[in-house]
Amino acid sequence: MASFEEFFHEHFHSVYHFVYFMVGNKSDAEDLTQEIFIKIANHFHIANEIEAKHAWVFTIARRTVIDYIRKKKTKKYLLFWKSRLPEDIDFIDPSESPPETQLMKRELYDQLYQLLNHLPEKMRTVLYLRYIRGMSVPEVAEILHTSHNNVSVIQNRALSKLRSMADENPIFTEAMK
Amino acid sequence: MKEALFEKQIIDHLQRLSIPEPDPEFEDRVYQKFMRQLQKKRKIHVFRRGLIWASSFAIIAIGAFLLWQSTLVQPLQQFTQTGKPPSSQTENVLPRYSSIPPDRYTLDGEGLYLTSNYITTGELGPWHFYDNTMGNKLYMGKEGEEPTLIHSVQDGYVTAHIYPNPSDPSEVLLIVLESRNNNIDYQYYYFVDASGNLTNIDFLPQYGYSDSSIHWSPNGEKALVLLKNAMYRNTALVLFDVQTFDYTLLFGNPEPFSEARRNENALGSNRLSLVTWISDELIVLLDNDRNTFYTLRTTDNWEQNYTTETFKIEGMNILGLKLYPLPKYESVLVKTGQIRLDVGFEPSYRLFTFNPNAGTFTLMNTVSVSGDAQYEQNFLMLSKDGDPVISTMVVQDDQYELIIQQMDPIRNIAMKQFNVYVPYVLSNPQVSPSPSSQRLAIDYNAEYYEENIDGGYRVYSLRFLVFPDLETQSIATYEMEEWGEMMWMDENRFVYGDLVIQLSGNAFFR
Repeated sequence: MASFEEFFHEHFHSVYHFVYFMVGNKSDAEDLTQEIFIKIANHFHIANEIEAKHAWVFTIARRTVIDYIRKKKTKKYLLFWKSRLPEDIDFIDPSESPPETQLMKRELYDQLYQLLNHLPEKMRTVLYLRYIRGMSVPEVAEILHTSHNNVSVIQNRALSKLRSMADENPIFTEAMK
Repeated sequence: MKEALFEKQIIDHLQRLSIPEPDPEFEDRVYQKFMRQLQKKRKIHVFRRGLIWASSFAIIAIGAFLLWQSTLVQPLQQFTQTGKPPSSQTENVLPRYSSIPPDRYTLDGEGLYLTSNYITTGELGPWHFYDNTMGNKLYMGKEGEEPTLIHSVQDGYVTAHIYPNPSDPSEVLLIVLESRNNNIDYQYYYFVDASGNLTNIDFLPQYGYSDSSIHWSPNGEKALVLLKNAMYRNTALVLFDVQTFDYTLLFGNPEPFSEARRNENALGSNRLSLVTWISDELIVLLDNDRNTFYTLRTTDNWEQNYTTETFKIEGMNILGLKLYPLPKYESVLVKTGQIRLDVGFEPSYRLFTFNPNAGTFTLMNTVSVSGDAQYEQNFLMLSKDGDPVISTMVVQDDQYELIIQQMDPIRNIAMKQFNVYVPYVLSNPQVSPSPSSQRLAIDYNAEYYEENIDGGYRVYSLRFLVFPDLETQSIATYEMEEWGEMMWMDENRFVYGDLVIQLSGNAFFR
């Protein structure tokens, strides 16, 4: 039982973080995280045969999220992405900036999320793993079962797409000056 | 240089995002569930493993006994049964599937995006479809039996669309989509007969079409395969005979990577969006670009014998469009409307009857509304008599009225009607008729909104399970916090998730 406990605590937070980033609200993140761990429990008997357990867990998590996006596309989900920054997601700003600057930055992150929403799921996942989780290209490639080259291509395309969208966004262009 | 700097700034902003930690109570709750599920699964596996060991042992023991027996009685058998010397080559008929250890039989479809008419499932008829949890191998099989590998990819992953034969669900057609690095979907078509024999149908275009669907004829003898390539605005429709494996290209461009030409054929097929069978011979197609319906008898020559009807409907939108065949009336029900994205009830779903024989397109007259009333209509099912059953939600003066009707779509009148006031706006109905189709369990989505103190709205979602009673015009309602699988145990007991509901009245059809 100890190994199960270790396994759970080793992966729980990373799964929750990823799901939260992809769906953007606590309620759905909790539902999906729970669903993912039930799936993991259902198939746990094959986990021993799998070497890269974190990749296996992430695959299940990612595909549960894809399924959710494809299947539900609920008003709640679309509404959230369309209108505002996800609840509770914040940015780290070590400087004690004045309220106006804080507000502007808040707006900037709101815009950033809207831009992210326009990217395909794969691009968002790659950006998350690379820049929020800080993984290397080979690590991301292992997790996504693809080549290093492909990860780089997706990453570059995602950044280029974000840039071209941000280019047309006045709040962004102002902030980036 | 400027671009690189801009991207660097974006990365910088991305890296500053901070995602909240999960609540410890939630973590603890999931942990408890995880452990419970593990224990449950372990018990099943131990039981199955024990069963298989016991079965194997028993088979070996019986086999050894029979072998010993056969050596004893062989001379007599040789003489009395055949009169010939026994062949040293005994006939050895292996079953198609044999038992496998439970730790190799992994999935019942979970973890795999398998769809059948947009319902995610891994189980159809007697078959389980599942992958190797990494998404690059797709299997089918019966529980506890040797699985068959359907498809395998080296790179990328597979998803599958599975279409069971309406007349025999153990026969299925599959489209396996293989996503590769260059983002082109490769498609593979397979046919599985009732005995589990797998055939790769290799004459259909195997790649480049990004969206395809299969439409079985009602008698299950033929299937239409609709192929669409969004990039080149290209469409092809193939009629496939399941009995003979013959196929006919009804129209369209079989080359996925070439621009479709408007005048290529009479139909101008590049924006064909929907297709359905009205009967075993009659099909209806819709070109959404032109708001035009086409009808054809599949026994006729397409180029000469199709008919067209063009309609203009406000709010007709591909996202909300659906066709429901009405074989009894040789007509088709058309659902039009926009998918709602914002807060508030802005109903747009409407149901029209398209009658190809009369060339008419009529708004289904399910409800008469007045003043500022808003309403939306949804198709629920066909009754046993073949009539459409419709659900309508009417909102007026902050009152929500739910109307369920059995319609005659040609005369455009309700033959049976049920209406009741409900506490929430109910949308997105999913119906499950009881085994005798007398009772209807309808699962509605109910959303409501509350204003936040600091502005904006928060959306709350509930499920409402209702059992309408036509005779008493009453409704049994059950409020659910989360979605559950629906299943009838018998005529009086209904299961929703892990809740069993006992019913006594509430029959819609008597």
